[in-house]
Amino acid sequence: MSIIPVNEKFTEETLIQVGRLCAQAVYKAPQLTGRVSFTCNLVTGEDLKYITEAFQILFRLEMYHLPSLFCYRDAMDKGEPLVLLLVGTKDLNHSELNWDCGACGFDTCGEFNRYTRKKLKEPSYPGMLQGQGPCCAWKLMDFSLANDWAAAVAWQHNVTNRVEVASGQAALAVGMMEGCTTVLGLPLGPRHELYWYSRRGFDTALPYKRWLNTMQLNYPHHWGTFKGSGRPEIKKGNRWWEDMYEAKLEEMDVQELVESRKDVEEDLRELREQRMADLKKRAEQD
Amino acid sequence: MPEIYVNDWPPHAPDDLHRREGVVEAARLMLNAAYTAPVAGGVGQIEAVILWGKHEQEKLAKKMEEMAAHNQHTSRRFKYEAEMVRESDAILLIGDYLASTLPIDAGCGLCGGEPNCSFLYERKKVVAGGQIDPTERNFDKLVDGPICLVRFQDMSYAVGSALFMSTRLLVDARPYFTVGAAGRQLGYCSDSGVVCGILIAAQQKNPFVDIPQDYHVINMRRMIQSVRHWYIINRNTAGDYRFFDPSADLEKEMLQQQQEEQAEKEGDEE
Repeated sequence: MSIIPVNEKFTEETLIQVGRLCAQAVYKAPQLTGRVSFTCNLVTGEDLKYITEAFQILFRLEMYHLPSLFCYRDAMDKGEPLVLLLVGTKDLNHSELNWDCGACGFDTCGEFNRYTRKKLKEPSYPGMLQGQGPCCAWKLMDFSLANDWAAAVAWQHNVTNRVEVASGQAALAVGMMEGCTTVLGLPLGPRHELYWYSRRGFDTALPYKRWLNTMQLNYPHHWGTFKGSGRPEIKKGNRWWEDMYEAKLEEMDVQELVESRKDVEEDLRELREQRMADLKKRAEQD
Repeated sequence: MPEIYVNDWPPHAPDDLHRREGVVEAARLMLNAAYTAPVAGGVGQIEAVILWGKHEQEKLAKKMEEMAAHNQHTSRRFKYEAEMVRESDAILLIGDYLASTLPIDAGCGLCGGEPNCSFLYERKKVVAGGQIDPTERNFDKLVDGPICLVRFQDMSYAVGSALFMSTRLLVDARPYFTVGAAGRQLGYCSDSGVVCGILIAAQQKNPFVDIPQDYHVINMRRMIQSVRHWYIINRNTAGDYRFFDPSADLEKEMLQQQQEEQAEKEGDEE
């Protein structure tokens, strides 16, 4: 026997092994409906770059892609092993249950199915959280708890992980989960305690003053003053009485949001095409 | 069987205490793991305290905040972690009652780099032929050092085993030196010169991660304090709802409009 160094390559193999077991847990997880089937893909090495590129584009719509972007990018830049388990399904937008439970907001499963068939014909947009709604609630539970089982298996194997909306959305956007309408991601690794929590990238991505300003904007009551003046005064600096600020409600530019969705969709389309071209090239080389 | 209703809000209310009991059970099992951890020579040296309850946690948190004033470089750490003490469900304090006063005397050099135990003994009050006087308790520093690092390693196994068990019991737990230091100052694990605190929680959000900056002033407890006090003050702008309720009038108007529209639609269909 020779010495086997526990290096990045070795760890990546371990993560792939654990990823396999996590995927196995997805299929073994108990179901209420017994009607949900899964597609699992394990993204490794070079292919992760499509995910980070999608984060970069989707970040323009939703800020929660930012922490995922810097977590993935940091690990990849440092050569730290990281694999991504994608768990998806195509079964949530239709109910064959006939339970008529009302969770979806319709009196019967039949009405839900009619509404869904109509809704799915409308164009979707890339900012949708985990894929395409409307979903049958109880089938969504089966999908979600299976993802929970996968995360629990990673936890039992001491692999740092976090169930992620962002990477599921990114994978859907770049066409990695063909046929699926709902996808969640489960990044596994790298070799750091709490890598996906208390994320260190925020130190540079969100400087202290900007962070504090965001808190003051989002939770102005915490910086409010006695409202005797009748004005919504907000404390900003430590000597807040010297420079006074007040809160305001401003109308959002909805058109701008609509335009940026179009731009994002266009950039994602290009990324999908580039991935397809890369795959073709790779197949030719093989 | 009686019904056990659990709701984690408001904290420390009877419904929440039902939830916390489970965490205290987990703390007990974590303590089992701490005790069965390997130690050099199998020598018993661990003492522990399980602490929970609003007032007990508050007392510990206040002590940490008091210590923040005397520990310039770790001041914020004490303050932030004091809030985590308030947010935790139970606290496990693990002390080593030999590390400070009864070294293993193996001459290992871990503590001071000497090929004997001189580094430690020269810094202790030693009497009666190589006996460290255990009654000379030093509370000036966070730890009554120097300590025998072989003993401390044994204590580390105990802390590690407790934390490992926490992962198997699916409770969140993290070790803190500040919590242990404050616990020691308050007289918990009173035989030990060094104490480590483990905060334990089983909440929807792990209270020991994603800690915002300025956590001692920007945290859930303080945010709710400000909602309570500003909301109460703003209530003073209200009138008498029995005579003045424009929102209800608007709702009636809307309902009436809807009924008219419905009637019109039905008329058209006929």
